[in-house]
Amino acid sequence: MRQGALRLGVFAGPIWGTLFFVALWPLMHIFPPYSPNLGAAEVAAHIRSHQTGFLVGGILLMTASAIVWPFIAVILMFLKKIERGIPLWTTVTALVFTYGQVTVFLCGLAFTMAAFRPDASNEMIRAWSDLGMFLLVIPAIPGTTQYLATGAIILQDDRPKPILPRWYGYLNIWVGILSAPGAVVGLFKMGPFAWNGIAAFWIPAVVFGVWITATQLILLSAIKRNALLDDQP
Amino acid sequence: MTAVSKRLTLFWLVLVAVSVLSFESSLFGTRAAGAIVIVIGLTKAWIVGREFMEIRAAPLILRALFQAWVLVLGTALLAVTYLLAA
Amino acid sequence: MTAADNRSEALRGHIPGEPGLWVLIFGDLLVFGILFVTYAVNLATDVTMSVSQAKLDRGLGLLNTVLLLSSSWCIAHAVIAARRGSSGVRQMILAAMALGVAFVGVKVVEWGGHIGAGDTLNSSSFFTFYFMYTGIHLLHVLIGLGVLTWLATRCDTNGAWSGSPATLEGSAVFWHLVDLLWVMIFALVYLLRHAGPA
Repeated sequence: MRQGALRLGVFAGPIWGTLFFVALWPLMHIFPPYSPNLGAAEVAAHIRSHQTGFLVGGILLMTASAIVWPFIAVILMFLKKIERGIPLWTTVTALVFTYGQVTVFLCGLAFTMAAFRPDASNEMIRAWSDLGMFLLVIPAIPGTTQYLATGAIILQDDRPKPILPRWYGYLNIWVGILSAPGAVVGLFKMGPFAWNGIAAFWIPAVVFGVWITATQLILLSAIKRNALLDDQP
Repeated sequence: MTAVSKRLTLFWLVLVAVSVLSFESSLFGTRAAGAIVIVIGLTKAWIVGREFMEIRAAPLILRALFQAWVLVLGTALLAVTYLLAA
Repeated sequence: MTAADNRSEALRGHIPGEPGLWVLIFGDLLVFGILFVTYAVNLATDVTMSVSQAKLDRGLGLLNTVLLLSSSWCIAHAVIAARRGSSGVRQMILAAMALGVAFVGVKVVEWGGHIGAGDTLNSSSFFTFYFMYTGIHLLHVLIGLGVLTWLATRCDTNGAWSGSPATLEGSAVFWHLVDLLWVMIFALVYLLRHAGPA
């Protein structure tokens, strides 16, 4: 069994996370996100003064969406192993993962557009930046489907010694339910459900941090146990 | 036919009774009503957890976590309600 | 103590459902705790909240509380029946489901009334809290009803439980969580008033 290759695959997860965070925080300075109430002139001034940061950050986000696949592939192999026979929900998870990473790619592209022409009008710059912010937060919508499907697969595992731990299945359901409020950011410019609010940004962000950390740990431990070669009936 | 648990039925009656009670108490609109509503709400949550979820018989760690949730949330809600309201 | 109560002493030290389930239960409790405090901060500092809050029909909130408490009682009795190997499990699950569906019905009527009166998701900060919190809770109710439906199909033709005890118990714990969260939403969103000298 190529445990080494699988382990390497898992590390695409933290690399993705690092690129993502470096782009948002030291480069674009949009972590925590600015208020949706900010005027066009202020948003445009922020982007003009960090123009290079936004352009490089955009490249990092697009790169992140391209190099995450080994990590996702390792998750999917375990899910497929659990589901046996006809891997319906594994396929659903795989498709939603794909769709979710397209939003990450487009998020990088939208911020690139926002910073590309600093002489453009304030409103134009803010519109592209708004699109970037939406693409950052709104993947919560497909995310909910993906987490619930993953949770359902893991909890269906009827082997005496489950391939992936059952608590991780419940964790996925928890993450799925709590990501859902991210869906409504288009309705609010302030308060807990705006894109910088506690319920639509902070809770999903922290919960996602818990998810990606737990995912790496359980994958590494399952690889160590050689769970892909498990031959329980 | 299902055997009826007297204990659960009794707690169910208590829960319904205090729901009606808290419903009435908030009509007074006094400053004390806020505390009554919060304490009754958390007491109900505590009963649902202990009796219905069977946390009362669960290992110490579950009991302690649940107890902590009720106490921390109660303290936070009371503090916010009375200290922040100007 | 009736015969149904005797088993409860034998449960000492027993983890209801399975250990992993409590990741979801405490995770949810933690996040709802944060949401409840966020709401209380807004209620205490923003006097406009109480103006909109006065439009809620507290009677419907009380009705929904009683429906969910009773539904909890039913699913708890399904667990008791299963432990005794009795045939009344499916009956109790169906009763719990019926009460849960009634809760959803009341919620739809209530939401419909507010939306019809022009109070929608983003028309005031109170109604944002109201629709979002009851909405996130409703998502829990719908997931719970899905789980209960699945439980009902896992009873044998006599209506006795044929699955593993942990599955029924764990699902019941989730359904009680839905009840517990509603009890807090009812207290905070419907009953708690702005405490200042308004």
